Amino acid sequence: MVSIESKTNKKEISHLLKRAGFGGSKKDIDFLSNKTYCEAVDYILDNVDKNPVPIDLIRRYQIDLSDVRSVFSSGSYWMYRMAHSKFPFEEKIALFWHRLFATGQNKLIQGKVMTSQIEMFREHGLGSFENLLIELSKNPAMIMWLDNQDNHKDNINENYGREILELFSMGAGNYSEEDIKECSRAFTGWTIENMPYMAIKMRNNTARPYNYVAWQFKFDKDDHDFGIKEFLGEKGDFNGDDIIRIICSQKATAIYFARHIYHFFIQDESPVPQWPHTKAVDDKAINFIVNSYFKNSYNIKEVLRELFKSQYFRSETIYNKRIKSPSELVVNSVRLSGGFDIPSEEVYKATISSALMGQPLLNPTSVDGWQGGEEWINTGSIIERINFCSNILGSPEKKIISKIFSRNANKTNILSFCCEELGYLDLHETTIKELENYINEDEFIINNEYLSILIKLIVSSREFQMV
Amino acid sequence: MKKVSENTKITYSHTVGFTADVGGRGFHLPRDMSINSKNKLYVVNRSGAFHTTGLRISIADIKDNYYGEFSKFGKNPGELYWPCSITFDSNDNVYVTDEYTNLISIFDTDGKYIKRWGEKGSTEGKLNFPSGIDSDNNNNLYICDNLNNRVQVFTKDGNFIKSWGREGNKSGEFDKPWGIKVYDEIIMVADWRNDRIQIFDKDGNFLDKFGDDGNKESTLFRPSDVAKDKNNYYYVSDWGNQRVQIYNDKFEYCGFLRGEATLSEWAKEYLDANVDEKNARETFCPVINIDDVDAHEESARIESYFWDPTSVIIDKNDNLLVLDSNRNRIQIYHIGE
Repeated sequence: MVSIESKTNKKEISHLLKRAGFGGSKKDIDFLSNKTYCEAVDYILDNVDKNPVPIDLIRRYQIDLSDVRSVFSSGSYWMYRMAHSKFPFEEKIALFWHRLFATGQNKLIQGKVMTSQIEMFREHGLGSFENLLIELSKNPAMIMWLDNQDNHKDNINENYGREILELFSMGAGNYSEEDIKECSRAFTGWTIENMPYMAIKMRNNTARPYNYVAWQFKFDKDDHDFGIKEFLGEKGDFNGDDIIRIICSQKATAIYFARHIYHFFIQDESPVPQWPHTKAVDDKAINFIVNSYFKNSYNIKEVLRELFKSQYFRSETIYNKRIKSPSELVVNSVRLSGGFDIPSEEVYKATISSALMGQPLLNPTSVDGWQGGEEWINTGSIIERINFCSNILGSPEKKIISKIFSRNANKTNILSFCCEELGYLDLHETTIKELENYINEDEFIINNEYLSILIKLIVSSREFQMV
Repeated sequence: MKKVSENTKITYSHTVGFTADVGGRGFHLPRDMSINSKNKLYVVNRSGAFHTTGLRISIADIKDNYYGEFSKFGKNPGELYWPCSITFDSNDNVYVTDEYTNLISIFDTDGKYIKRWGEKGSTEGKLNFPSGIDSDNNNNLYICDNLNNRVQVFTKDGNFIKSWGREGNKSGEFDKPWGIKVYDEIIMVADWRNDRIQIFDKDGNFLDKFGDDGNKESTLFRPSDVAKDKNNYYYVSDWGNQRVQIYNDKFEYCGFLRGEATLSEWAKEYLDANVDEKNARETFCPVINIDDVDAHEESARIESYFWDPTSVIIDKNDNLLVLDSNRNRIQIYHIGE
């Protein structure tokens, strides 16, 4: 066991809240600093916000979020939840699985089933990985995304059988082409209710005559291949559940899972397609996660609990080493600014901004999902990132400005007050020096206007882009 | 599906509507409807934030005729941003509330823009998210000023007459009221977040209320509108429970409608022109056994059920019209034998 005990400090809590959520406000960090670090981890992991948003208000006033037809409407609904949840860890884990089990509305057309898939990630995303893969395989959005409705007992379609092995569990190179076929046979008959009509509505991209009909899983036993299959060295009349049981017991699955966890919660790894050919950034950390995976019977929450309490997560060497994904950046900024009003048009702008930065929620560019890391930064996205943060956090109407103003700041302490309100933001000494030079200019006076400019400058820094 | 007491006579008749999200014959995320003196049905299509081309007022009737449409998305005179509710004056001029702009826009019966009035605020005569609207025989307008938690009464030109109500859950108080109906001497308000219907006289004096909150068979959850028939039976669009609840003249619960939509004539014409969809639909089983999910999700999966019913009205021929918002249609029932 590599876990260590140490005295809690605000910097460490800030790191925890950024990685296990979307960053904490000064209030959040001050609150959790009163607990030991391990208590803080347990607090974050073991609490769920049962009413993260007043869904009735959203459905009444922003009716396209009720119908959730378009990708931006579905994404905006999720944006509300991410920005308002008191315990955003469940949203963060849903984001993790959305990135790994990438499913896109561009093919599915309707957003309702994507919203339901995210709900499934909330419900099962911290339980057993085996159970999660079963739920994923029954998820209507995934079935239609990877064509399993066309996987028939007398004519298999290998799309889902291939991707569950390559992208969702083991990674390329750890199974044979024959395993893919046998896996696909086991998932025959895993389809949706009223498949022929639902499929043609999707293909024709039509909401006519009466809007979309949300899909529901159906096991069609008449279309299931009950024959004997050989899969990864085992033999039997396997159904999909059996295949997933075998998959989850493989060390390759544990390693693949561990690299994704590391990539998302610890440090940026190389892009996933390179993994069969590249070493992990930190083999020891991967081994730690692999061992935890087996020791905890594939329970995701317990793996993360051990990881968050370990030196691999707590080491200061990994603080602020990841580039915030667009959704992390947007949600972090919105939360720090005080959240959205309900109803609000700001939520739509936030969702579009995330897309313009390269991460359209519920619409990943491919089955590979988003690779993350340096992929997030290019000449276009960096402008969008800085504009969004500075607009929303530097707006004089936002609560963050009034909070700083109410603390009776002077030229000596205003910078530290700003950084505290931005979640104890840790600025590099050169950044501090430049900002202090600006504050010490004669024309700088502490009022809403200059405070707004100062906040805009701070959140335009490299440090604010990191997590 | 429906379940009503033996003495409650109501029968599903037919459905009018079609998804028309870029305009044309049909509706898109409609919020409210009203019938003018010439039996023409005006439907407020709110449409969506990312899909604003469906926003307009449609003119149709329940015999599948479509007469046209007017207005569009925007904030300029004659345009609407978040339209919510609609009514007429005695000349069949059209009044539409706009929750976002806090304006009441007025059009003539053909949809020609006349003028608009309204101002955001919380003092008397100002509005904050005006939702339901109805008119009386004197052409006065009764508006649910929903974020101010009150009913306000204006002349048709926007001159303030009176208001009543404040935030709360006691009799005469409101929590984000939505639909409103004026019947001779009484005014009925769907007191949305208090899960009840309140009844007032025309001076705003509280008379009565009915409805218990919850998701049991006889309760209400976030009712959006109410209508009264000639026998004083009440029909409530129980928006949060995805059904229409029926009460008798003593406010005793008489049953519910869950929706039984069939293909409208417009829908049939569409399918006739799209043979692949028509053929695929022949195997379609509209009512499936569903997983344990909430009523909203159930409605999303079962096409014939109401999905966010927002408005109920009763026409001169004793037809109950239920605006089935997320399905872009109106389900019509006949009241009586």
